[in-house]
Amino acid sequence: MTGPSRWQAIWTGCVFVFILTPIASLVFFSFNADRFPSLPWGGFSLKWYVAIFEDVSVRDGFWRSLRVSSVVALLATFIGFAAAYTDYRYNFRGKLPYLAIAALPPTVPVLILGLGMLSFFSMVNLVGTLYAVIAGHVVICAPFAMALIRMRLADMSPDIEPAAWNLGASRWTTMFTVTIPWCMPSIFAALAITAAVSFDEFMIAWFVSGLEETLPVRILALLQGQVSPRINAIGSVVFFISITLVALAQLLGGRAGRGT
Amino acid sequence: MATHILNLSDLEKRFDDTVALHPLTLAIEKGEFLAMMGPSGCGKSTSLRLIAGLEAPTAGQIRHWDRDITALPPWERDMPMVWQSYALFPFMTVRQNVEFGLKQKRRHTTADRKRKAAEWLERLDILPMAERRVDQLSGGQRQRVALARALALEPEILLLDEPLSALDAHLRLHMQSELKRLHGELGITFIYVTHSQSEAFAMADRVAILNNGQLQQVGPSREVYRAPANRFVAEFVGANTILTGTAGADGTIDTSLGRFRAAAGHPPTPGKPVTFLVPSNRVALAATEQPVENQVSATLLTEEFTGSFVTLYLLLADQTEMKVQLQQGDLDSLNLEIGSTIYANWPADAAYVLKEG
Repeated sequence: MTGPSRWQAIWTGCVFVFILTPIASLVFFSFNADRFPSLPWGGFSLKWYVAIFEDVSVRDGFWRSLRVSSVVALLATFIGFAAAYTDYRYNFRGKLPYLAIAALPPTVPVLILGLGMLSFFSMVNLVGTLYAVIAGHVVICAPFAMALIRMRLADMSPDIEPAAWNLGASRWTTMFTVTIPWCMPSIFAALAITAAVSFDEFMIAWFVSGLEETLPVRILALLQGQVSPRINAIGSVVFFISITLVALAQLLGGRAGRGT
Repeated sequence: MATHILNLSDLEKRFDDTVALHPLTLAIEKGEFLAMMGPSGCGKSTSLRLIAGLEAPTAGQIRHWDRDITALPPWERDMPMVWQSYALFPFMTVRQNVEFGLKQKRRHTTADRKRKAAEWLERLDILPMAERRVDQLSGGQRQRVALARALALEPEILLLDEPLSALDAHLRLHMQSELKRLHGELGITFIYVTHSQSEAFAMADRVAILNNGQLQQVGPSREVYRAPANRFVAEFVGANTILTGTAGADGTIDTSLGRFRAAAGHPPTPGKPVTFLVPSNRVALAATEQPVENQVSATLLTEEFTGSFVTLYLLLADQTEMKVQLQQGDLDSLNLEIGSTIYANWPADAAYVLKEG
């Protein structure tokens, strides 16, 4: 190995260590039997995991987050696909503003989004329901889905759909036998990414969930009360769910990129 | 009772301010091989997309036999197309691609569909690769899949949009003869769009030449070649030298190169400007000035060998480029070098006068 590339490797390694150490230590200490996350090691134990799964409020939060993120993934991916497809298939006046608005939500600070949604949902009497959390999450997740699916559609030859029409397939048949199969890898990737974003999302959920706390909201409530190693256990669980979804999206999206 | 399989009447297409196709009227015979050609942007592809229903005309009508199909969506037209990009479905196997059109028709049973697809795969020599994905095929093989996919529908009319332009020269010639053979065997009407006049003349019964969205000439290939309707067609066909001058009283034409006589084509009106063509295969060359009419002196620019023929490019005194086609044997007796001066002459009955205006 030559000089510069060895230094680059060491430097890259340092960056990764810096980023991953907190997460690694979180996972590491979640298995520590001691009450305090410090060395020496107090012995391997799953008691904190047992404790969180016995805590009804954490369990409820976990199930709510799971329910919200699955519904959000489906809705956001559907909306994202629809937006990406209108961009692919049609040319119309005002297309640029349309796309800009469709891609806008993630650029708005979540604090502003959360506040705005709180005031809007209280007008329509949805505050404190999971519907409100779902609606809020769909708004921030749909642009991610759109971006992923749009990239895939951009690789589809503009002649493919007309070729299907020309062979006797109606628009709907073409949509289901040609367009959606082509987009499938990116649709799976979008489902995974939007589920991950929703599962992790704290700010909007904190504003609008009320007593229907999602997991991230519950975690913060726990932290404010007491610092307990249970946090490490919850953090590990949330981390593994999110990283699995993101890895899945990467895998599927990567395959989409290589396909022809 | 309509007598034409397809009738385009005053078919017109505009995009905002630009006219893609000026009103086009064209009647297509059952079973003919019609080539529509012209430079890019001439309206040939637009015409084909209008016929397929992929674009809606701004005005005009398309009739299939007696039926007005102008407003019919593409999936109800039964006029499969072979695309320049092939437009195969990339996530399907070769067999699935060929079966796609058959699947859309309710009238085929599954067994029927499988048999038909296999038959066309066989017929186009792609049966061995039926289970492969299309991205594992070469360009020539993809072209065959595209053809099989369209022909499996057993249509009355097949549309072809520059299907050979992505192939290399050798494969293109091979596919040309194969398309010509298929057309003969099947009796299907072929409407073939191309920018290549050699492809069109090699295969088509009739050619339609377009430029700037306007039909310039339509007729049997040989007629268009021999008697182009105007200067554009003459240039596009490319087999002639084009000279201009003023018509004299006794059927002569005065040009900056001298006085000529042209006996073929449209008799010129005395005193009016005239354009006439000298076919490249009717020009005789001599090393010295000959006692004949219709003679010019020229400088040899380049020569181009194409098998037993040689094409010479000469430069005339007014900077016009003259094309001369000779047998190899005739050239050898002349003993020419690039840059040498030479005398070219042609019989008056070979010079073709274009219609005025």
